Amino acid sequence: MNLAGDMEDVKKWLQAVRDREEQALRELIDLYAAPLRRFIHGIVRNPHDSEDLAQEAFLRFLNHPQDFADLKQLRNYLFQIAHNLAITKVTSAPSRREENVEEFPEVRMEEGSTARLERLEREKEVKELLYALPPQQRKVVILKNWEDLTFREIGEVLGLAEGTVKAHYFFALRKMKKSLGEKGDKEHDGATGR
Amino acid sequence: MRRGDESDEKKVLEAFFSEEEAAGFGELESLIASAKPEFGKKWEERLLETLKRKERRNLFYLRALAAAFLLIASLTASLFFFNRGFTEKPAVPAAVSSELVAELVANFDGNFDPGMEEMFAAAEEKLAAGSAHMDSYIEDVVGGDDENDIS
Repeated sequence: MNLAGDMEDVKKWLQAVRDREEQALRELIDLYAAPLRRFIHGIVRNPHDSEDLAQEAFLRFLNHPQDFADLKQLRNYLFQIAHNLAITKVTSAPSRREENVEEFPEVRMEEGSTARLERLEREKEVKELLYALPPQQRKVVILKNWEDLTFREIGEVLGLAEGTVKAHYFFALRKMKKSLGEKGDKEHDGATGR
Repeated sequence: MRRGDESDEKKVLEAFFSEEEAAGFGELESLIASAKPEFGKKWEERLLETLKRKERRNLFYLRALAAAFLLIASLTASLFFFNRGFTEKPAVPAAVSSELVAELVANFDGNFDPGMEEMFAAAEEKLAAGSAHMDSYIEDVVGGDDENDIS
């Protein structure tokens, strides 16, 4: 299917999804499964819950299919379902939430050079800082940097004004930058023996 | 940021759009983007199977529901028509037939003799009279509907 296709293409494809044609379902999963799971994980911080909730989001969409003018609308709608499910999960069962940052079980850690290991370490640090952000800021950063949503689209998904989304983003990045800087300074001090 | 603190929000947005701040965030944004987790295809295959399985289950329930509905509808219809067959039969005027039978029984002595013919002729006359009476009765009660015409 052509991602930038016209409305007719999208309609036909959505009909195929409604008819549960395997190819269409596969394309739906290819497009949105990983983004939904990442987003949900950013909220619930539990790999098993994020799998279950992403699956539930798809089932809800398939059981109540709607018409969308383009794929962006569909994506935002799926994110909205995922957001509602994740929020319900977090508020209904807070004790099951895992506060620590976990690696996703299916992420493959390939053997690599020192540079690659350093990069992985840096990514891990960034992920830790990201998951330590307040929930709204975290959601905004994830949707902006991992899923390439615009501030306006993020506002639609989270039910916030565009300006509020921008403010959350700004504070989140400022906080992360400061934390990374402090960490870097400490490491530098440690290395020079100060 | 506190809700409704518009001046703070304005300052934040101004700062956000300043080139200095944006440049400072560029490196961090690329770091965040590179930390994006990826998943294996195994989970996606499981998800596909689940979506297909759920659909099959839904179809099964739908079919079972339709079959149950048809069964109940056919049973109800059968009962309705069966019951109607009993209740809507035209009532036979009992007085005519019982009188006739009583007379026939009373006149029959157990032997067939020439007098029997006369007796049967008389009975036929009575039956004809009874039939005419029944016709008029049916016409009065039912209104001469062809469907209920028993003559």
